[in-house]
Amino acid sequence: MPSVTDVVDYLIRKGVDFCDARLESRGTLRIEVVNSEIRAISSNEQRGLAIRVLINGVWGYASTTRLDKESIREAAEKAFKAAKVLAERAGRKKILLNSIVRTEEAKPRILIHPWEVPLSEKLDVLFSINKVQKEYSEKIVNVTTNYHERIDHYELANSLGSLLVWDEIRLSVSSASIAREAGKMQYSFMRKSGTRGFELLKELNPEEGRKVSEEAVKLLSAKKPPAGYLTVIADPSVAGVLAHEVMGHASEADEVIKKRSFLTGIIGERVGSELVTMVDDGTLNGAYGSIPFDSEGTPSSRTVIINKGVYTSYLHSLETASLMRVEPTGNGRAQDFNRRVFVRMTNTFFEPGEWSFDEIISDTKEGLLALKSIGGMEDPVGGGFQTTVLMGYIIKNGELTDLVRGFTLSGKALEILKTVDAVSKEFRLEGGHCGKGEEDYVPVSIGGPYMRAKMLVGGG
Amino acid sequence: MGIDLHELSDYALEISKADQTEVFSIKATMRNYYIDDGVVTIGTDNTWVGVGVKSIIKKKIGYFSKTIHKKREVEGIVEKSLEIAKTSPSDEKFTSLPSPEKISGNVEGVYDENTAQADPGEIVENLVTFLESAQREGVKVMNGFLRISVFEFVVKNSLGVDFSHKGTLVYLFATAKKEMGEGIIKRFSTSLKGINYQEAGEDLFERTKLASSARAFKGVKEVDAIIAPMEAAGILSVIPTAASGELINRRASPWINKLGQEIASKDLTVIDDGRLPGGLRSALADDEGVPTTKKPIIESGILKNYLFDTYNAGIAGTKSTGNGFRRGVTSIEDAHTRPVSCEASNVIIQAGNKDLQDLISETDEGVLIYKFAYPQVDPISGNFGLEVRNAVLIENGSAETAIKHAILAGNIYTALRNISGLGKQQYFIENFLVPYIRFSKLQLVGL
Repeated sequence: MPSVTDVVDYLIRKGVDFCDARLESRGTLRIEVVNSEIRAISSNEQRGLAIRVLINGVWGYASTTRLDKESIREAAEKAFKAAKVLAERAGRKKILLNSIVRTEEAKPRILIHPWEVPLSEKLDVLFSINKVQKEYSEKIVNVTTNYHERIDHYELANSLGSLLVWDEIRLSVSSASIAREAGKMQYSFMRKSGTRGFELLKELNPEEGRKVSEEAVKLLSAKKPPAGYLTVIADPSVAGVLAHEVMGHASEADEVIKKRSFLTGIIGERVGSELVTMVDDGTLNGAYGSIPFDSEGTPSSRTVIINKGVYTSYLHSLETASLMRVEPTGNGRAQDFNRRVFVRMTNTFFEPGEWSFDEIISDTKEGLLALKSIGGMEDPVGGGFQTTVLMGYIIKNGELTDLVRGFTLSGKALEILKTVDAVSKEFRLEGGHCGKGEEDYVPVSIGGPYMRAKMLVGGG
Repeated sequence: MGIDLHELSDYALEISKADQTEVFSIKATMRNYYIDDGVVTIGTDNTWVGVGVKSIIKKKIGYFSKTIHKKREVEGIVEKSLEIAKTSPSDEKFTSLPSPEKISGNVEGVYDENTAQADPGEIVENLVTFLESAQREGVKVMNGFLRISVFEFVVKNSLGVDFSHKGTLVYLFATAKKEMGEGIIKRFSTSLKGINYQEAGEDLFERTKLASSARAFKGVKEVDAIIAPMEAAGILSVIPTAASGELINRRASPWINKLGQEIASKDLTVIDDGRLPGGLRSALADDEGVPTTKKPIIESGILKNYLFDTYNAGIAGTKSTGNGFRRGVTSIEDAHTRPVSCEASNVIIQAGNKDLQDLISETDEGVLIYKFAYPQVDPISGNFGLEVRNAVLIENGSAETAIKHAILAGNIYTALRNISGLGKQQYFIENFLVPYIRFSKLQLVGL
């Protein structure tokens, strides 16, 4: 099989402005335990070569899973031809990419490689959590526990001279319990994940499964949440959605360059209270979104997006950094060899503050504690925040009172951030997968502290 | 690509030492043409062959899949699948892989040779038509893509199932911006010519222009909500989810023991049709080689059928309904990596007899919603609170004021009983064929 540098050398000889070749191998294992029985054990391996060619500001991509010389040559020709055909019609200017050139090999910082752990040991952990979930109450009608491991190997070369080899290892375990009573159904869930080895599962207390079932049962008798413009204490998952979906996606420089982002031209302006500092950091040890290099070979970095309420930086790929004449930030990422590289986040979060959680609650006369975000959606144009949460508590005179069932939080992000008046020391990151425009999923984490702000509440 | 899927599958079955073996293999090409800032800036061309092997040894099940580049690699796939099966606990609920059944009839409009062979120039021409139609009066297309997937899959098992199918899928997605307003459109077809690029561009222009004039909604009120097909398909995806034989077996569906009972308005009929002409999931058989069928999930408000693959049908003591799927509809990439699960084939929400203007003029106090942030509904409780991003308020039968920044709240299982109008024209949205739908008695919450 030709090496990634052979492909790059071949394309350089054809005459390109820039090119790179990225060989990806991915191995995954998924296990699903349902009601104390195995529902599925499936494993997948995929290997493919992604080739990119840049000519006059336009990209041609091709990929192949056939790695013989002829197939790779064919893919390189397809990428070259696509760039040529599109460049003739697009009428764009040449872009000179400024890549950090290096030759390096990076290994993941883990303790126990998942491939060294027998399947039976993985199953034992899952069964023990699943059992605790199920045994909590007769009202629990369904319990699911999932395990997912993903081992990636990358080799990348580009026409500027970089040659990189690196591995990424990710694990996650999640649980969900469904409770049923008198025709009503509710559920709860938990998820632990990271760029970590099997030590992640060894540290997991199966009793966390009990909490999941307990929440599902409690939600059966939860009250209807209030609606309106309310004081909300967002938990780290909700704060993370605000950081990632609204402020984060709008900070992706590809959206800024074409003026799709509501944050276009906002560097140096105040966008939140002094308590608000927001960061994208791909270097965090163990976080699910951490990467040694992005899909273009740029080392990951820590980018302070908002510093004490003042907007400071966008996130960049090689192309956007070149167009905006700044350094790339290591945020050019692709789902896999079949998908394009564009600006994506890594670990995106608000920094913790100085309040304790208890202090924030006792300081709140009337409000709503929002717990466990179950998703949100980007709005880089309008800057609208939206997330649905699983549950919450009404706060009255500094105390948590009634449990309420799921509701939706909404509002204009910039207005919400300006109302932030308390930020906790307690801080948490949660791993997951981010899509941009409803697809192109990459591993990320989101999070932050507990944050108090004003938001629109509805649903439930 | 020079790999014969039939030969490869036969070889895998021949060398497998399992009690039962199933081989799913797929050969696919996916081409994407991305639009950025009003220009087609990226062209991609990806090809792959993927194989998934399920092995069963004394009710122990193993599944392993891999992308391959030569036939002999299936040896490793079979070996790993057997290894997983051997180390798995036995699944006493497993009965058998499907036995072969006679597959007859035909299915139209699933593969288009012209689409499979289209050259980049022709594809870009379609996008140019689309862009010219959408971009005027300050409206600019920000993001988008036209995706063409061409695939052939073969599924065989050791009991004699032998089915193959080839198809083409086309997906156009685009967002456009004018001032602070954003419009979004999606179009689905099984051929390039099945999409009207001029019309799609005009629709995007209209959606964007409307969004740019929207004001934040204020207050709280009960409304009748007319939901456009693109979003109705999203929230109505709870129907095949709640009817999934897998969720029924797990007792995780609110529709357990409700066959024959009224669960929706009598105006609602929902059909699962595996052979719908032009349907994105249409084929003579499902992804485990069981013949597809046409059957009502809901008929005049009555729950009529659950959807089963072979595994879950075995648990429930019934037959597969031809609803074992692993293929996606917006992209075909991961089909071989996923074991089969109970999913809808093509979902037809039966049309009503009203055009959109009728639905609007009959509504005293309501909202016409073109776009939510994301049409996500909790399938367990049915609760939803959806952020409205592109909508028009209706007052006394007239839709005039564009709004945004509001939450539409309710419970989908209650809302299904409160359907008060269905449009007469249906639209393909992924594997749904769906009209405009009016739900009564929902709550609209603003600032």
